Amino acid sequence: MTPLLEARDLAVHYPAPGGAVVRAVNGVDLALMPGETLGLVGESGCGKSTLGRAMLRLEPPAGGRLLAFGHDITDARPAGLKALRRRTSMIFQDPHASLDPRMTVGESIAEPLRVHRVGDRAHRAARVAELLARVGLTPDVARRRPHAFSGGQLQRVGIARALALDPDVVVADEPVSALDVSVQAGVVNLLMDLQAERGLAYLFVAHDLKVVELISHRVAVMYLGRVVELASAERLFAGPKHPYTRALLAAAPTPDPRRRDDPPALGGEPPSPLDPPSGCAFHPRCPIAEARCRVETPALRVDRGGHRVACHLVSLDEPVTRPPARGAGIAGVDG
Amino acid sequence: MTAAPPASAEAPEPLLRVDGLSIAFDAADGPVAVVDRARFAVARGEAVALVGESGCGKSVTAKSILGLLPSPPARVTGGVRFDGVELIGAPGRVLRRIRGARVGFVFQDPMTALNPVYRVGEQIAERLRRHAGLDRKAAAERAVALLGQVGIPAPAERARAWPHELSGGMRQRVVIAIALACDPDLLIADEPTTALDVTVQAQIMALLRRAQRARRMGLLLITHDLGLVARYVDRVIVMYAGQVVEAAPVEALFDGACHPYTRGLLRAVPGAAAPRPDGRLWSIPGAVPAPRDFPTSCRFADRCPRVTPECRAAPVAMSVADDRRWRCLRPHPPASGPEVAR
Repeated sequence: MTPLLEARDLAVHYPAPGGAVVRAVNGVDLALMPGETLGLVGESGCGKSTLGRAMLRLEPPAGGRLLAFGHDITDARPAGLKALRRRTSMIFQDPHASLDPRMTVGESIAEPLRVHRVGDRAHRAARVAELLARVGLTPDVARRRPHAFSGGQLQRVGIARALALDPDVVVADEPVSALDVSVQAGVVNLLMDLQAERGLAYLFVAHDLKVVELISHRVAVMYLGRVVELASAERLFAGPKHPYTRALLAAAPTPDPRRRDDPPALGGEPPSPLDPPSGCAFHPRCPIAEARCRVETPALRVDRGGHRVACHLVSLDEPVTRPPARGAGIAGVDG
Repeated sequence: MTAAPPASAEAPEPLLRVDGLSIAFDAADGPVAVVDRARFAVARGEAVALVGESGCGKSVTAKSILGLLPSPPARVTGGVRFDGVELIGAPGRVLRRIRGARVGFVFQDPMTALNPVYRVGEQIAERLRRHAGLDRKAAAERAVALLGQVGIPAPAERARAWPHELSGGMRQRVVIAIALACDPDLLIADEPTTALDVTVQAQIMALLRRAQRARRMGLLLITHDLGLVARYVDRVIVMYAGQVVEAAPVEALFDGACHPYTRGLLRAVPGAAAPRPDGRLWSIPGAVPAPRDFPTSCRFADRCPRVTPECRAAPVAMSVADDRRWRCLRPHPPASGPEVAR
């Protein structure tokens, strides 16, 4: 099967003050397959949002190749990106910031159709009504402007806009992290339902591991511009191999009062991408780092089950036990 | 159960007692009530969470405690007693003496709490000179010691750093050092880790909890994050649409909440409960009403799976049993213990 989007040794650089270069994405191999949700997780500054945008060629590649629907688009000119723009879309974290406050939400949803010259005015209006209904809003809200909506409603508008051209790929950048928990659940469910109906593929960029676990088929963990672990969601969450992934899972607070006062899983903070540590970028925070970790950058290795990990010190085929942080739930909430 | 104490024996005065606290904001078309007669207490050495979703009133409640809401437009009524002193309507000099010295604050964004044009050590020292009467040298030395206590490496060096030179986690540690500088009796932390990464969040919460225990401080944690609530506090106050709807010890609440809103909220947290049979998350239908549309009867009725006609008939009072309170006519029985009588 041809991946919808594929990064091969992709790099994205930003200029920094003083002529320095921030390697925001530093040699990433990643493929998004049809119909799947690929979760992309990591802490701020790890490059996950940049990688999400770069996969749509919204950031110019500084190195490596980028393929869309089987075609190399690394050096494509805007005209050559037309298919990419038509078949992909994005959902953003803050719909109040991503939707034009001067346009009605109906105009915002119809905009991609207008830009790609799909249908006439009447056709587009009908499509807007249909999309609004599908995301759980009434068609009459099309005439309102963004300020009249709550965060959850407006994120549904953002989803309707992303669906306007019936894309194959949606890159969702922290789509529910600004929403209240009771509203978030409804939006996550909507995204899952839409995928089931339309066979969309999602590149789902998020820091909330529980949401990622629920929605993703595969998950990539990033640290300082690199993918350090990549596996099916089941494998990754049941048996994380990279010491960083293990710490990340343990640090996510489980709503269980009986796990209170566990010591923090990890000291230190993510390093600055302006001044990345030598060797394995995680070594200054790693509980098992050895001398070679300070010198050699580990490559992504793969085990028999397709579980990829970039660490010198984990053995690939030894079974990894489920860490204690996982699997604790709240008793009695169903009662 | 042992015999009830005689009615005259009052429980010891808690460190902070909020009683009948109501907050309204003036608007062009009349005042809008955002908090309705909130009531809760924080004891010395106790960590209490004020939890709820956006717009529930938790943050304005915290800000009103020490007169941090500008009035007008805010109208604050009711009682807030701190260590026996009534704060609502107290003169500015009383509030200023308590603020910063006896009550410390930590807010979500450390950049707004720090002055960008002063080195971080100077900002701590300034607090110590003003409120603890230390001289310049003693204050500077104590500032370095505090930076060390909040886990900042090379504190003597970092004391000379500007806020913008520090990471988000380090800045929040500096804010905590300022809050702890004068040995406060109460720390109010409003979403202190919301802007931080998850591994850093765990460090900051552990630091706050350790300081709270070691100093026998009261801690009032304002948060939307039920994961933090479960892990770092002793007691929980749940707010919905401007009202306290449930209060309980943390384990009792997570074992079996009485209010349908609390239950719905706990179940909606990804990973907290088994997902629905179709693999989807449990959500709460509908949305929180806007303050102008708060009903006089149960404010959760329109979203509640257990609603009955009487829920919409009249205001719902708080029910009390043992150490729990709930505002509901059809509460769930707690998971353990006796069936709750209405």
